Amino acid sequence: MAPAPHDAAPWPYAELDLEAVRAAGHRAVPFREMVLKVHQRCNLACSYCYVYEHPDQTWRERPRTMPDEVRDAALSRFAAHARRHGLTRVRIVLHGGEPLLYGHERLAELARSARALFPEGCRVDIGMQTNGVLLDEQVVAMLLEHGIQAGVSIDGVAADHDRHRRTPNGRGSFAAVERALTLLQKPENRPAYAGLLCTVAAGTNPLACYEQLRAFDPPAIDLLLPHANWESPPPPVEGRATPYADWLIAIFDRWYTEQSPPRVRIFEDAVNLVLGGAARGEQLGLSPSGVLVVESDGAIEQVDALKSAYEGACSTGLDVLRHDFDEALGHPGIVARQIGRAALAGECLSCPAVDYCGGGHYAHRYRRDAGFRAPSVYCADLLTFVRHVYGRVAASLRREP
Amino acid sequence: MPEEVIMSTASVETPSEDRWIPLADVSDLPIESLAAETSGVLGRSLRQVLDGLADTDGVISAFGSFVAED
Repeated sequence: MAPAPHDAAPWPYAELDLEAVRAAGHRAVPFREMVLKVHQRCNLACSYCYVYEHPDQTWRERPRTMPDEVRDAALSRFAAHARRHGLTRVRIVLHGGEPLLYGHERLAELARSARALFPEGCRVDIGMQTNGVLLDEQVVAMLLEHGIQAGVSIDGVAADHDRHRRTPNGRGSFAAVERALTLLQKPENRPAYAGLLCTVAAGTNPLACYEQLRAFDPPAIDLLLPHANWESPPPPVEGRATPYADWLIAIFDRWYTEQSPPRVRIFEDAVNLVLGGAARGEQLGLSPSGVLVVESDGAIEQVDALKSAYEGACSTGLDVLRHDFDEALGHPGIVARQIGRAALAGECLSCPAVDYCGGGHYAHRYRRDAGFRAPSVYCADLLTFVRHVYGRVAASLRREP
Repeated sequence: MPEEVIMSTASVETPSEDRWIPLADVSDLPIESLAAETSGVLGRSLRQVLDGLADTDGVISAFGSFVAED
């Protein structure tokens, strides 16, 4: 395996002092979630895809489909990790490319194998992040039988969705996704319905987007800021200083006043953080990352959102055929995601909102001269959004902050 | 929802620029009973904050379209 080209990221690769971190008492946090790249190709060609349309092109050199040998090694390594650390709950996320290209029979076999390998007392949640195009009745039956929950990517109303999420020949995919979501909404299928993932498009109508997502009656929604960094900033919106915050706030204000709204993780995280709790997502807060990715060739990697930064940005140099997951716990890229404030830039540490925005998504901090120790490219948006949430919650509690 | 946490949709307060203190630390409200009695988003969040006290690692996951049923 080629050495990782981490010269492009001074932090953490040249600047993080692992010895000092250990001496300060850092305790590695075991991995709770393994993202399995079971298939490297996709049946859509979305304009913003961080796998295919961003600097990292390592997908070209990896096997299209994860070989059984790699699948078995990945599951065994994760099960051994769970046993060693006494984990009582883990999650496996089937991902790609498009995971349904792996084949529903192979997905079923994978789920059977996974549950057989983990120690008694360790709950294994299995999820799949899909574009939904191939999700038909046969697939839903398999998901139900094997306890797999599907998260479906959809970007709001048909026109907005189809602008970005198209087939390779340019046709929009909304109609196909709508069919899939109609299936998942049936009462007998709901155990297989995890939720919706929507990439924020700041120039669109936020409430129309939210109402469209709500119409699919999802158990959960995540609103994901498009992956961007200082070298490749997010698309601006003319006349708006904080277009992404404005878009999120419009939906937040609707969501916050609903009696039984769906779970929206970035909003729940924001409210929990201002109340003194912790975040569970990557976009806010200072919680440690417990995620590891296994690529189709067996490479053990950091979260794949880093593909938006530079070629090879996810690499650890480890692979499941030769290395335990515990070896990844000492990798500087992993350690940097588990040390909270110590990984943040000086500008972040002097910001009054630091505990709430937490520097933003790690991938969005990337700047060539600093690596991953810069404020988020969404800094102004995050500050505006978090300030608004803080104000709403403070007003609800009728207490001065 | 108890009267003290009934919100106005127009109410937004501005945090201090020096430090934004976590609201649960300064509210002087009994958080356990508040969590039990409050409906809507705020009540759910208060219960999540209380439940989270038992999770010392509090790790994040990569996919927000899956939210664990706690």
